[in-house]
Amino acid sequence: MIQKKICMVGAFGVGKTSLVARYVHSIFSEKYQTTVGVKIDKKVVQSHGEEVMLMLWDLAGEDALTTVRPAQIRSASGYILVVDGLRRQTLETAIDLQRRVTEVLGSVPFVCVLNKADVRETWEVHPGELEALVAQCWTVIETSAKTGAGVEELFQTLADAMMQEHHAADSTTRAIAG
Amino acid sequence: MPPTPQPGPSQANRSTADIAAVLAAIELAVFEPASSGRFRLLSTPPQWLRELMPALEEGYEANLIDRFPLLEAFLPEAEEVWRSGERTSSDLWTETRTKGDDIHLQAWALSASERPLLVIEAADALHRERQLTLQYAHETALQYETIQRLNQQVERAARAKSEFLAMMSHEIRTPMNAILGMADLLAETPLSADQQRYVAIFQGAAGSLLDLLNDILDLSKIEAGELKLETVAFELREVVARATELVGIRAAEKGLAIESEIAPEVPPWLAGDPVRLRQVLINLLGNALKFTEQGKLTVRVRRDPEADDLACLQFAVSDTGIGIPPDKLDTIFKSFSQADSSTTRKYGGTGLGLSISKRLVEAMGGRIWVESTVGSGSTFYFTTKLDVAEAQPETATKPGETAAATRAPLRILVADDSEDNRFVIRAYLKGTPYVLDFAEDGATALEKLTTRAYELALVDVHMPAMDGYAVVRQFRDFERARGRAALPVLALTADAFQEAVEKSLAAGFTRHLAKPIRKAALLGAIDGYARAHPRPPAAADHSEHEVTVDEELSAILPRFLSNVRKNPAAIVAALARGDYDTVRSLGHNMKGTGASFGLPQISTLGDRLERAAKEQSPDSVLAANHELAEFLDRVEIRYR
Repeated sequence: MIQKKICMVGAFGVGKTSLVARYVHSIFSEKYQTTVGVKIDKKVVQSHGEEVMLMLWDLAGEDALTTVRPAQIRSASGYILVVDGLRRQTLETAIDLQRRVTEVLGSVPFVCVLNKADVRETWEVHPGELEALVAQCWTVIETSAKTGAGVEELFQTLADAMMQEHHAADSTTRAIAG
Repeated sequence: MPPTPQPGPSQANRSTADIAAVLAAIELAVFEPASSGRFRLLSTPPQWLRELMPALEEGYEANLIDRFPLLEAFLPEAEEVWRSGERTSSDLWTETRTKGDDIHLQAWALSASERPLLVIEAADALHRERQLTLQYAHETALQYETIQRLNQQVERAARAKSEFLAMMSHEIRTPMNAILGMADLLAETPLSADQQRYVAIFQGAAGSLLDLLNDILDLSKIEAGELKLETVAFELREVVARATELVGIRAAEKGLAIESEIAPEVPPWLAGDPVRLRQVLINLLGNALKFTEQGKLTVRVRRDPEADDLACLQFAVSDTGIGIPPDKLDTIFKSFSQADSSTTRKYGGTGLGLSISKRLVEAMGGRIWVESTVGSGSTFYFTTKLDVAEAQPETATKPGETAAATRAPLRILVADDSEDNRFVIRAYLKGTPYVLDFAEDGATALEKLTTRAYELALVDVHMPAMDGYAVVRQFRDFERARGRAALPVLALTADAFQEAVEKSLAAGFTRHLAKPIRKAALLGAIDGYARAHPRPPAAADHSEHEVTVDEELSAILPRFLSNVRKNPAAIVAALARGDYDTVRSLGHNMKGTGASFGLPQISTLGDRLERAAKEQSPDSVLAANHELAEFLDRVEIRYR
């Protein structure tokens, strides 16, 4: 089975662990638990008619002292930039992370997530502000790990994009070999 | 991938196996790299490894990276240190055991006798410790962010409230201007005794509404942190006297006296904000008056006994009124709070005065408190931190002193979008020699200002489309471009605050008049302008005003002079219409007749007016007209 590594990146407290927990185990906890180090979960999805094993690397959130280690994101086929809609600063962290991750991985599929859509009316980030990013071909999805809204769509979108890349690379390889 | 069985440990390795068992007991699993990315377990598997990899035994090989993908990220670093002989650790990672709970692991890369080793240990304690620290740091940061966000929301709400109140104040003040104006004008007409009483009530109620509006505005400005205190030199005695005089009128109606006493050690001249200080005194005196039926009110000022500075003062306002129960002493300085809600019904008021006073006093670096005995009265104390100032020379005149008789026939443009306000100003200035022209909006005002001649303009700040600020700004540009002297333009606005005054002056207004404008204030302002811009001196010597003419003219000269005295106003009015023909005709007429009546000055000025009208030069017409009015005001006729 094809395996694809996905990294969950973003500022601390944006809901990276909660999104994985909702997606893999269908659970949600209100209690905030800081992630220390890395936790890797797996889930099999269907994409382009075949099964893909997603390896979800849930990385510790960025704060003043913690930054993403290039070694941990290396070999990822895609990543998810998580933003807390309630905290504008986390969008800036995400934009900075996107740049740093691209330096390591090059141009791989990613999705930017505006999480905590269940309290959308109190968001500090207005989705309209992301238009400039969408214009740069960012995929932006609103999710709520609490209600599950947008979570399946998020992982499916990324899986599909990664598989599309996978097949494109495959055919390139075959063309070269042939 | 399942572990591959390998031969068991040899006898020679026995001691190594013992050590491995010890390592297992302390939950360490020791591996060494084997071929093709696999690792051989050198120690007895500890409990956690048995749970995660049940088939793996000591001496067996396994693909650790398949089981612990994090190691894939760690291995390049590990290979580095195996080469260099140093040691390094991986990040912590989390695995889920078969029974569902989590275990936290950490890998070490090190070398023993140049033999590369990979050690994996259960690191729950380290994880717990790091988690506690990080969790605390993150929760604190999140709380801080929440507080900041809430603060911003509160600030935004306060700003919105302040803007709403400022807008409402204008909306309320504009009709209030008409109500108060009409009441004042009505009171000047012949009225029966009943009608006079009704109008007085009407005026009183409108005045109270205005006071309330001012209080609410004051408080909202203070709450929004927009209160700016002035620092000017003032005479304390004067401030206290003004406050007691004002409240004294109402006190006298109740048969109460107000006494004031300033201790001799208090410096007579101080630097601070006399308007706000007087406001506090008036608030406290008004309050004392409200709750006192007999006895007297007293204002005492002395040096603050708790401060060293000479200019730190303590004010005490005492009454012989109903007093305040001890349990209410703390709440009376809060907004909309009186000692008893029934108080509001019985004594009136909003309870804003003390709250405003408290904030003003605090802004002046002092504090306010009250001592009271129910049934025998209250004393409100407050302190202020002021500075000692040099004594200032007395100002020459007070506003409103200019008598109507000496008013020059100024040509005034009034720009206000409210028809009621235009009507009130017209009514106020009835009977004065002022000639009014009106504009209903900013664009018309600017058009008139740039094409017609005026000596004064009153411009409403808030007008739709083009507001007063824009009008005056563009008009000042126009004046500068033509090198014209600045026309006095007075701002009319509902906003009386210092910031609004500064905004008006910055835009180019000469002076700021707060609505609702009462008749005396309007006349005072216009007269003030007239005083500040005296007509050009026509004569330095008194003898030049004295004109001796033939006795035989005595029968007709007074009538001639009386007719000519109407000309300055007529000329200003004609100029306003752009009617230079009339100006020329009046000038021509005076040129021809003045000398015949023994007054060649009139002929000369008539000639100047005629020529100025021909040139269509408003400035020259106005200058000559001023001199004419001046001459006619001062001229004394002697007959020989």
